[in-house]
Amino acid sequence: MKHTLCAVLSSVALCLSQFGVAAEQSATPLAQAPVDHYDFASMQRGAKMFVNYCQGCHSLKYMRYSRLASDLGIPDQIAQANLAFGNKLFAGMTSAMNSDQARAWFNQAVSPDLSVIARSRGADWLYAFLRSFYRDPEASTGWNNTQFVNTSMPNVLHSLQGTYVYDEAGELIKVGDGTLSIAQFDTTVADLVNFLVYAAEPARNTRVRIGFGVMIFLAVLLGIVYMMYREYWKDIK
Amino acid sequence: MSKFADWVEYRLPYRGFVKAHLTQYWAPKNFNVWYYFGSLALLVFVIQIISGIFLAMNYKPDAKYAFDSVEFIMRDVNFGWLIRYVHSTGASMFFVVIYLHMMRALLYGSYRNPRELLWIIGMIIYLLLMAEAFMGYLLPWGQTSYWGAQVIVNLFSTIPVVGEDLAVFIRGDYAISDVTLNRFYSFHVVALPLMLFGLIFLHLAALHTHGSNNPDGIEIKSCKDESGKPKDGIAFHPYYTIKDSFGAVVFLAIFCPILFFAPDMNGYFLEFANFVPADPLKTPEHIAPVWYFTPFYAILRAVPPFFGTQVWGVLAMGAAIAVFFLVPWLDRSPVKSVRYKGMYTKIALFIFVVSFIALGILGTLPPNDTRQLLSQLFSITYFAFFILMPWYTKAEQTTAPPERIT
Repeated sequence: MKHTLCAVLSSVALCLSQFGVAAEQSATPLAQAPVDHYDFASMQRGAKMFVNYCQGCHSLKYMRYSRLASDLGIPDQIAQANLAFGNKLFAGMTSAMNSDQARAWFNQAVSPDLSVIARSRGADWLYAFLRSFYRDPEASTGWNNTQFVNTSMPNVLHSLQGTYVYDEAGELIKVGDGTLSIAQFDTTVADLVNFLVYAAEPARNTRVRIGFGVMIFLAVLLGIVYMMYREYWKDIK
Repeated sequence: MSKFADWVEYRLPYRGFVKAHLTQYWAPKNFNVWYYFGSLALLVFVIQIISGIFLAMNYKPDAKYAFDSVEFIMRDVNFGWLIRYVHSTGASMFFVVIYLHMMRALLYGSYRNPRELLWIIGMIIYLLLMAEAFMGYLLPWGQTSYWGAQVIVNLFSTIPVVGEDLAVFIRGDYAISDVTLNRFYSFHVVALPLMLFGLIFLHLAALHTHGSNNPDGIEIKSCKDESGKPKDGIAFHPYYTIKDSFGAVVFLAIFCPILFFAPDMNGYFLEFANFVPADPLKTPEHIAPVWYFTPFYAILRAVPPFFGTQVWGVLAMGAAIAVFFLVPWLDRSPVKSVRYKGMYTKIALFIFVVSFIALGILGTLPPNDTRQLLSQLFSITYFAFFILMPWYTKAEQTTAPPERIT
């Protein structure tokens, strides 16, 4: 019966994992975003990118500047001067733009809060989305996106990325240079995605660290309890 | 110390209780791995109650603040992330444990005379647990919370004549709203846990009346020694308390890696869309319930509408759960355990398990023609397991169980 149980459990797990992948993916599989939960320099660069390029429209309202500073190893004075500016350091990272302004300026669309966007969309999706903008004269902002068709968001990174157009073959063709090369731009977007992944779950590294401790404790406890069980049961035939 | 114990004993005679239910409560000595899941279910219940108490200290049951308060728990409450992940992982693991606990009963005939009522109380616990999980899932107030609740409550509106009014009565509003959130919160933290507590007590009381069944499906009380102790019975304490402790640690060694290293289980324990705040104006493309409801959800979707109403799917889903209540009377086999039943039962059980898992997978996926056909096929085999049970348990060749347990 032990074997039956194991077989049933493992087959369920296998099926779920296979079908899970199939269910979540769109037609073309997304490239894996190079997320590194321990690359704090990358997350710091990502935070800088977010404050400079994203926060004009998007909030990160559950993320406090002070938490960000201490988690990513940024001294408070530097965080105050370069990230929070006139805001309180313990305040949430809210955008200066409110939702009425957003509706007026972006054709009724409200730019979503990005605090947990990396958990709802996933890092790979964000990494693809931010690199998939192209010029579209038909769109209200002049920009469209292959990953999120007819998005209300313009390509705010185009001064870095350069300009792409969408040709008949369905390929994105680079027609204008930005200040960064393709490889540099990919790294910059990866930094931003890495930061958003951090911001979506700031406790992630603490969770994993405590998890290892708990597993070591359980391994020891398992040994002790198993020996006690064998000792008590040795006279049962 | 013993003087104090005597003092208590005189006023509250606990020694008799400890004897009757622990130190001289005789349990069959041949329990296998399937028999861990009862005590594990109790463990998860306690885990859920304790983590739930701490969550309720910080959660705000208000449509305006619910989503915020969950993120507040995840970020600003000391170890709030731990409390929340314990509770969310616990919810899914509760169903893993309960499904295996029910499977054990199906394998060894634990629902048979004289344990029919024990099985029925267990089924009521399972129903309440589904209600508890469903209502708890609304509380984070994300998109799947909101639209999942919308879909499930709308099932009631398919009932002819009274359906629409009934759905409004349940929601307290014409759509899921703050009113619904408040009543679901009240049910989730007070009413249902209280009922669960009472029924678990009755479940144990009924269990201890005749004692546990065992993998051989024979009664150990039919063979006693001179002192009245069953020859194949051993004291629940210390033998099964220590064995179940071992089982509990093994369970925690599975529970904790999920909790600490993959708390969302790739979208199966915490669905991705639930990290988007509830928006009554934006229906998500694909609404799937959490994995433990998907077998029944697949059955619901498998039944096409007839006579312009969807009620048939709802009835089929209800029947898929209700039919479990009849199992003690559907099984006509002269023996209890699958060990001594014939080939038909073994094949039927296998097909049932495959159908249940397949329906569970199909329920998580967006429908298409092939999946619709597969859902219908597996719904039929699911029901065939129950409907044909009186026939195949009677018709098959069984072997005689041993006098004493093996």
